[in-house]
Amino acid sequence: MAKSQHMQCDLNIPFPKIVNKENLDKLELILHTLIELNYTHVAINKQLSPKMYYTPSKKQKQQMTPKDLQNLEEYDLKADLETYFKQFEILEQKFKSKQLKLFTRVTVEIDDPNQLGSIFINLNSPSAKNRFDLVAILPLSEKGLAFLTNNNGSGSNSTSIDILTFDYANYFNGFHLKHKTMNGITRRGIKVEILYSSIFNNLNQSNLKFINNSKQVIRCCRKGIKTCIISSGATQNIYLRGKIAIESILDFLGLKPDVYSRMLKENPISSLLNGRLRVKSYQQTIATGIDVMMKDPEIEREGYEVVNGFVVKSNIEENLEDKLEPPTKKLKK
Amino acid sequence: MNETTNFIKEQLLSKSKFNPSELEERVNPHLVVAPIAKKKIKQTTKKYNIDSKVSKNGVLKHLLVQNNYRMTNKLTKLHLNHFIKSSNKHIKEANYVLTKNDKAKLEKKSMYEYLKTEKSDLYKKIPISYEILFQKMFKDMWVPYIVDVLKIDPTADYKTSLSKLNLNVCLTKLAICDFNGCKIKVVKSENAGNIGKEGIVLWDSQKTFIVIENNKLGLDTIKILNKSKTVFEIQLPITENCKHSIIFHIIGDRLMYRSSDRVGKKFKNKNVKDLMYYINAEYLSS
Repeated sequence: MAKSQHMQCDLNIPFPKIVNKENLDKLELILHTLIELNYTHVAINKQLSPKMYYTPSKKQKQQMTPKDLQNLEEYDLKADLETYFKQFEILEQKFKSKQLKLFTRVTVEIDDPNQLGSIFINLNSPSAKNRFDLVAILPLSEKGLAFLTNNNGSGSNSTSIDILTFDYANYFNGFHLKHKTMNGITRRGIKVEILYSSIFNNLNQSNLKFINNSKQVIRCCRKGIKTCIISSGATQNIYLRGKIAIESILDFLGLKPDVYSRMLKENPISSLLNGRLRVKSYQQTIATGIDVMMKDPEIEREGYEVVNGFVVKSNIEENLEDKLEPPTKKLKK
Repeated sequence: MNETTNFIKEQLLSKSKFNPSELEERVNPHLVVAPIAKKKIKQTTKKYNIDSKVSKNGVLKHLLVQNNYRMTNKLTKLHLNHFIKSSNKHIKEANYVLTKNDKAKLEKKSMYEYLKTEKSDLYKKIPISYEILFQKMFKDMWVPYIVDVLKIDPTADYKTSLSKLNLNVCLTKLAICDFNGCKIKVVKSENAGNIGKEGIVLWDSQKTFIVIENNKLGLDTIKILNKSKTVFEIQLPITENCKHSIIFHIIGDRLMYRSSDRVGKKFKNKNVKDLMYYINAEYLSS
């Protein structure tokens, strides 16, 4: 009997900023609770703040204080990303036998687009060993949001972005969302994310701010039928909820069941497909492997071999089939 | 005087002119309804007969000089239509001949041999069998061409030869390359009846692949596979024994260009809302 397959996505489980044994145990606890709640596709999120990727020029370095200069020299982005991928591989091996499928994701906080430099080129370069499955953007100001809309030219990096998120625990400082900008963004296939975990948090009235902010986002996206996705963003396992509980939250926000069923099911998987096609194919024309959504160890379990990204099939079995008896003929009437 | 003239006199012309007969005289020549001599419209339906425009050397003149782009496009369509319709018609004829002479139970090879010796006129009109095409088009022509493009050593061990290659360079080259003579198989499709069909490509048009399908029981037939909403699989043998092969997938929706237009094309990522068939359907239904 075939297994009855179902699908539930949570595309935002934050990776701890400081890598400790305590924090990693917390992450594992979250993943175990996700299995209990019948989740299947989960992305682990690495967040990059502007301080982490900003490389100032010589003139700008002279104006900075010595404390900031020390912090700049101490932090190394490459080493930080390497530790992330190393921990991710360990997690993948631990949850190999379970139903959970793990994906990598990065969110880049944008305050000023001029500070970005070449970070998107470095993250998405095809020559890099490890590439992120999903790339998201978190605008902190109106300039950051304009980065998505302005760069429509050929040299823009905005085509390589899957998800747009916001900081729901605080007020959007300094910018107001409009129909026109959001329509332009979502037409290209970029999905808008809603994080529900801050509704359970009472600190700084963040539960009230969540309602205000999410209402504003849903209004701009025309109720978000084809654009919005929902994920947790939970730092502790108590903030996670199952499918029915999430539906009740969205019902409370004033959405109808036909709308939020799409938000939970079809929209997140299409954003995952967009990300995986970017990694595994050339501009969505020709892809390698038997399935884009499968990871390398999963393909190897089905009897294929993966060498340097190519999927190799050994044809020894096919020759045997030819030697077998030809199919019995049926008389044509 | 009619009733109408009275009406005109009383209501409309009372101020300007008192006598309606004056007005009638002025209007009458314009109101006469008479039949007009009909001009015969020239109905010239353009028929491009293929045989009529062959020059002495047996080459179509219009194909040599590509001044009129639309014209050449039309001619290729005509050629394909003519080819597919006539071949399907002759296959029916051949099947009829075989059943009449009690040869329908024979194996495939002996069927073709019988037609070659006994009915040589019919044999020339039938498309070539799958086995010959697989040997000549795929193994002798297409595989060496692609192996040469991707710079693979067929003599060396496959692991060492693949580790030297760059995957993204290979994919960009494959997007531009020619697919005539390639063996393809439908893996995923919105049309569930199309899944599992495979064959060798005869022509790679803008929206379809024209393919010869392997029919194990009888004569081979021509099939037209739509590119839209289907995913095709290629298996490229890399070693000489054909024991090992690499697998690639063509996503049909994004390759809706003719092979000649595809060369200078800049492909771009698009919204994936039309690619939802790629995901397992059981996921979405539950």
